[in-house]
Amino acid sequence: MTTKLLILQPTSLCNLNCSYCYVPERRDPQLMTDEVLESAVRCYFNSSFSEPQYPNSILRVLWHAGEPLAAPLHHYIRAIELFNKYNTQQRNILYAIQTNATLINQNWCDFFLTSKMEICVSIDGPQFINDRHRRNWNDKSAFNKAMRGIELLKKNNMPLQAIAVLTEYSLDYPDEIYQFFTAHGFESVGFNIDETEGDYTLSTFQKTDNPKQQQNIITRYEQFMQRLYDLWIADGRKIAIREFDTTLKLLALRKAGFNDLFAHDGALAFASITISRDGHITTFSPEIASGIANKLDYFSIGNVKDISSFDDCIQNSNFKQQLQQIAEGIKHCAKTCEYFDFCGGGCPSNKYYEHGSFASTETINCRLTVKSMTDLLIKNLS
Amino acid sequence: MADKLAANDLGQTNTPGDTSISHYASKGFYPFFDMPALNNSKLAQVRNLPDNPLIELSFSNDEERQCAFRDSFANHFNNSFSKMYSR
Repeated sequence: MTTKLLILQPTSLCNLNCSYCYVPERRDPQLMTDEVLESAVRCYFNSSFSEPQYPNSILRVLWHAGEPLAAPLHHYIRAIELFNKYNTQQRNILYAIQTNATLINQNWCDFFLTSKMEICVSIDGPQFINDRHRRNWNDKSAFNKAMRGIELLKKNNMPLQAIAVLTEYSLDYPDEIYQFFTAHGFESVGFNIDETEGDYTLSTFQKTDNPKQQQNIITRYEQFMQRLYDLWIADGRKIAIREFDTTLKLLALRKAGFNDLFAHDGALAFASITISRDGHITTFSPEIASGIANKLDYFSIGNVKDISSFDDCIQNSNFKQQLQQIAEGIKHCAKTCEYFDFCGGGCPSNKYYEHGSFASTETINCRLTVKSMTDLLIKNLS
Repeated sequence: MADKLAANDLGQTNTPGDTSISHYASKGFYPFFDMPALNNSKLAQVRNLPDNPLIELSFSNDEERQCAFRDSFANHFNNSFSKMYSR
């Protein structure tokens, strides 16, 4: 197994208080210590998971959690020093930060450029949509500050990538959202629904138990995506939209006769590894690093301060239990879902936070981003 | 954007490596189990889609094609920024 994604959570602190955030302790200013940081880097390079899948395999090191830029610049400079120190085999590493953009200044941009950092901005669209959920702790808009950061990235010729969180409210505004991302020069965007996760206990897509109302929300999602698709095609696919691009690639492979099974990265042990601020290690879906209420280390499979290599986690009882439960869930999916060949068994974190168990099946994310998206593209290509 | 999906759009390299699910499973990293052969109506629908540049793969040679097939699913969700960074 080769780890493709190593997520480091430098701090849970965030200068924003987005209403759909699932990260706990967002007002806690504690920073990942140098000891934890160095132990994490050492555990990675000591592990078999650092063996490259191919000679030019890339490890993506991503800083994410609260707001990564709430941590000081020297933390990142130190981190890269440590990666350089332990990377004696000269493996390919790509550094990335997921940020709300509000704290970006020229100093950060200079660092991003020298470290070849990949920056992805979390922004939901035009101000009236973004302001709906992405607000500061005084319940004020964060939009203008985010746009200042985005403009600074552009001024420094950095490619713009975005994650936009879709809530039920956004569904009425496909034109406005598409226009926002293309007009501001974004190269790519991925639309994540406001899934139920961690501290965020009820997605706006699940706010009703009434089947008719639930179906209405799904229909609105499908209409939103159809309109987005029409705009995208009419526009010559100027921007990469993750939902369309990845599903089209998948359809292309299946149409071309690719028959092999396929695993969701979130179900593949150690494909991604997340290190919390305190050194706790989780694998499978990165979102489970947030644990459950009052037990942030609930899914921890070890702590970098206690081990010398991530391989040590293979014997962890929590890991074994998670693997076994995830297997149960995937088995059920394989037996019951005709979209299994286009999915591989769903995202474990969604399953746990929606159903209370990894050994479960369909989630709202499956329903929308796998089933509806696959059907929408089949319909449009038929 | 190119009209056809080039092999390098799929995130793989030209160097073969075993990224199959059975390989991962044999190492204990994937909960492998006996799977029914892929054969369902949804898959049949996709196989019968008319040709369209949006779902046409292009390979410059057989080796590239083989690598693309072998690796594509392993890399499928790891391309670009993924769902994994949820907010």
